[in-house]
Amino acid sequence: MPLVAKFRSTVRWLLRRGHMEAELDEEFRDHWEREVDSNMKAGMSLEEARQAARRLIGPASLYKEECRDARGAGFIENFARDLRYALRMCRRTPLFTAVAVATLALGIGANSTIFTFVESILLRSLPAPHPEELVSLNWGGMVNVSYPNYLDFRDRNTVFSNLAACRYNPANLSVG
Amino acid sequence: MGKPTDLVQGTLDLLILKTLSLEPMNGWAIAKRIVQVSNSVLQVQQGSLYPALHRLEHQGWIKAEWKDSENNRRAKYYSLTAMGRKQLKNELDNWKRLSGAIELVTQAG
Repeated sequence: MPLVAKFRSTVRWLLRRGHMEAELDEEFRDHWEREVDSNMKAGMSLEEARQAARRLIGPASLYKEECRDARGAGFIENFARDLRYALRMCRRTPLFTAVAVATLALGIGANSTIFTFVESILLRSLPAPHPEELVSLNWGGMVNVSYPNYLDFRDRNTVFSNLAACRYNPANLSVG
Repeated sequence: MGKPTDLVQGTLDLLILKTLSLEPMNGWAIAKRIVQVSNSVLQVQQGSLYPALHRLEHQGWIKAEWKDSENNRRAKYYSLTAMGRKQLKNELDNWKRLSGAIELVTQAG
């Protein structure tokens, strides 16, 4: 249950960051004003009250940072900030960025192409039920068999549930 | 970042939860109440109070809403949730057990 509450709280903070920041500022300012008021009621002048409050309260921005950390959005916010900085730096050195991007593109592209072939030929199993039970037959070392022989093998064998034969026609592809 | 020790942080949570179990209040009033009730022994600084309040809200034990306070000011009022009440009971039990144990060890000479 606390996990759901935490998640919701983090998401709310991230999505409405401007609003939440304004609320944080207002909360701190309200505390400050109440402290000043209380000091003045205790008899200090406005200036003394303010100074006493400032001394007591200390660095508000540091505490606001801790509040943000407590929200669990710190990691994502920091990451986003670093990402924006990195993009700014990339824009400032276009040549280096271009070389890096081209290298990555070549590497990733080549890798994907090779993997597509490997995956469809070697890794993917045949589109048939129980592909591990398929076998390929040859007759006395020869792949060729005559059609009537094939029919006899198919109908009279006691080992295989079915037998298929196909014609094999290699062809060359070339450009132009 | 200079976080307080675990014991102190957990104790502050307990104090806040207990204070809010009486009535909803804003951050400044919570600090003031703790100082008053403890006869000025426990001083809660803004630096530890607000991160603790935000952490407790993040964990769902207290909830906050903006209400109009006196002087036509808008303030953030914190109140205890049902989960918070359960957590308060747990923390109280833990505290009693812990302080009882410390008492035993320090009295054993």
